[in-house]
Amino acid sequence: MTKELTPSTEFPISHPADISDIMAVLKPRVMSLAIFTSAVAMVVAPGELHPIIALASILFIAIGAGASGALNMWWDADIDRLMRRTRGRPVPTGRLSRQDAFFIGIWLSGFSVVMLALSANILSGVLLAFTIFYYVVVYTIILKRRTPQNIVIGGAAGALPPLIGWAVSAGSVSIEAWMLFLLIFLWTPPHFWALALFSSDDYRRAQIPMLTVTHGRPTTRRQILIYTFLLIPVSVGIGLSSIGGPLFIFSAIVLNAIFLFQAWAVYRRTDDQSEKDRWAVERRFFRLSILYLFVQFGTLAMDKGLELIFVTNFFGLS
Amino acid sequence: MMKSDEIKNRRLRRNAVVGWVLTGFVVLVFAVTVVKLTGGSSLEGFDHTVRPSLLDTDS
Repeated sequence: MTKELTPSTEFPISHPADISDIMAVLKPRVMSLAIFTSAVAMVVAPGELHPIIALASILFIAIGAGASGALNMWWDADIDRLMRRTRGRPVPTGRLSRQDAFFIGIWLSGFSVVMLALSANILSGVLLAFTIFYYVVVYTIILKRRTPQNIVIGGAAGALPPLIGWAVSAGSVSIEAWMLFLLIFLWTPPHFWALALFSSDDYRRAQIPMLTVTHGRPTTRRQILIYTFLLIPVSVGIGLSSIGGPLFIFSAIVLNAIFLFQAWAVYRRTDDQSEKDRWAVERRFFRLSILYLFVQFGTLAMDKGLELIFVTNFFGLS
Repeated sequence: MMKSDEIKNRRLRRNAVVGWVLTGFVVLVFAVTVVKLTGGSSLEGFDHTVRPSLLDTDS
């Protein structure tokens, strides 16, 4: 499949692009997930990190995530305009040319990788480069339009930011960092398949082989339940590892129980029931999945904060 | 088609943002450089003289 870099007549351009369009092409929501998970990994990882280096590293990771979002919008402009969820994006609406999206993505990719390698360390720069490559080439270009396992395999791209954050702080990657990776990796399928359950028509129109399109919704519901089960041992494992603490363990027990209960509710439903209440349970599960990841990572950082306060106050150590 | 005023306003807004971003980048690189050079501790200002921390105090 070949793609032209020049702006196509399919997407009428209204130059010059507004700054808000340039921001939108960087996918701020995806950026926020990368910022949050990598920042938490920096906090919980061993090793001392100067706040200025931490701030600079988070910024360059965010720019790298934004760059991969721009390259994703460059490649997917043709299918983005077919889907309700994505047709308001800058490229399909003609507010930004495909060529602009491509060059924004390429330049920011190189810039973020070099700057992260210089300000933090080579390993984190290499990991960021690999993340961008994986998201753009492996997921967007190779997997997305070919296999219903697209978001399972491609989900690794979204799971890599904690590894980068860990590498920034510790200078290496340990088993705990891989467990954080695994948590996001296994969380991605239930999260995106819940979205696919109530956006299946969108994916069908764009001919994207999401599981709901290729195998139907009942199979998707079952797979959501399976992946939710698989999340539990990983979450508990993190709680028992060196980065876990009482807050994380407590929240992991409560969250996993609620998440599993909701996944079961999604599994038990039929499409007729879902149509009647406009996919209320599926939408709730999708929102819960966002909260799940936010709380899991948030409590890890809070446990680290508590540990520092405890050690400083009771043992006089810093 | 966009009006020329609108185009001018957009260009102005973009240029202003680019200016602020570049300023922020310069400040950030400077701050990172200082941290990297000092390793988190303060710089010793002993140009053209021997730094006391380098002297062998036993001899």
